Amino acid sequence: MAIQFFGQYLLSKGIITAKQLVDAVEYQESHNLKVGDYAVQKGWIPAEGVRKITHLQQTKDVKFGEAAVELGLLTKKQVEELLTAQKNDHLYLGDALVHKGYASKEAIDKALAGFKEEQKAFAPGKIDIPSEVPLPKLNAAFFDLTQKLLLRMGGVEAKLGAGKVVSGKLPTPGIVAQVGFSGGFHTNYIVCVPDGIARKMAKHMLDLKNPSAEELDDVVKEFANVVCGNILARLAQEGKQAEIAPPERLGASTDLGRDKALVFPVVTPDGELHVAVIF
Amino acid sequence: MGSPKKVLLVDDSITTAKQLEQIISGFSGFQVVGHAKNGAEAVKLYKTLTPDVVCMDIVMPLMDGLQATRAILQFDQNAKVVMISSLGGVGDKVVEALKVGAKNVIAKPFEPEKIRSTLETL
Repeated sequence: MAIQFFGQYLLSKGIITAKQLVDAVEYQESHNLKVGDYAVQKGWIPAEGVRKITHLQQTKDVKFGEAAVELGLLTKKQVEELLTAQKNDHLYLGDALVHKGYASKEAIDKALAGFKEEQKAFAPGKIDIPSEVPLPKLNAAFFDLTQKLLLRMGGVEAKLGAGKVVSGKLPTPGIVAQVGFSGGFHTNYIVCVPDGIARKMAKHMLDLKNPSAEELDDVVKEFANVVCGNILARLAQEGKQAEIAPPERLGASTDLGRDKALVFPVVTPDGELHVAVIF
Repeated sequence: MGSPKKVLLVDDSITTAKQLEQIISGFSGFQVVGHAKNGAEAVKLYKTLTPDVVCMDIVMPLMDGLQATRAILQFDQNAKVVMISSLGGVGDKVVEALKVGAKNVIAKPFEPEKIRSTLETL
């Protein structure tokens, strides 16, 4: 099980067809306006202003309204009015499916309760992120999901240690995989797994007693890929978009240049692995 | 009983390919016939192996799974492609994959039962 979106859950349960899902999403998209669209409609800001706000929003992990106020393009009162209008008009996927006649309201309500129950396993845990690290909620998700997926995918019980910020040279011992993010969000996720823990993951995932070096590398790379894919799913639930590159192997250390890394040790019964997110 | 349905696996991860092969080989009525490590290889193998079902990753080097699905469906409009991806929980990607013509989308990490029920309903 992974982080899902509601439409996919409905599809997987056979409540709707793929064609109905696509149709309902398009109907929903044509109906739902963004806060910026409401502001432009009201003549409060020009389209160029929306672009400026969106850019600030992406770099600072703040909501559209907060960015608009910071740039002096909207007042707090205007933002509240826009948010109320958006909330009142919002058409959820379930509503869209009911409007289109693809499912009954009762079936959607029942499915939504089941979906929420299933997704509880991925509810964000509380993680302390040092104050100098930007996008604290998102950065916390990397470590939270690493811990949860280590158990779910790799059969490894794990606890997070205390995070710290590293600059200069980042030691990356063990079998190391990196995934790059681009688009609305730029970073690199790095996971460093000691040989013994990678072997345990390979045994759990593939029942391999004597995995080759290539197989151990691939287990760690695929783990990083799945963590980062689920990060994108969580971002998407918050209306944010980004892309990930295929995972790649890293050497024994990485020169961070002018960047810094937030590093968390992850303690398991078989030793410690390390997870780093560049910022 | 008819011959088993041929399944082509497409994933740059040998871990996922092996997991899927182990899972699918346990189902009656399905047989894994090949493994492509990127989208370009998948299109070539589809033409030579003529599988009944393709299990397709999305994020891959050279050619991603969405591009490969488009190319396969241009070659054979009846192709049955199921996306199995770490992006399987990203709403936009799921909808994009379905628009391209994928029959279903499964998020990683997956459960064997999910793979079985999806393949059986194709």
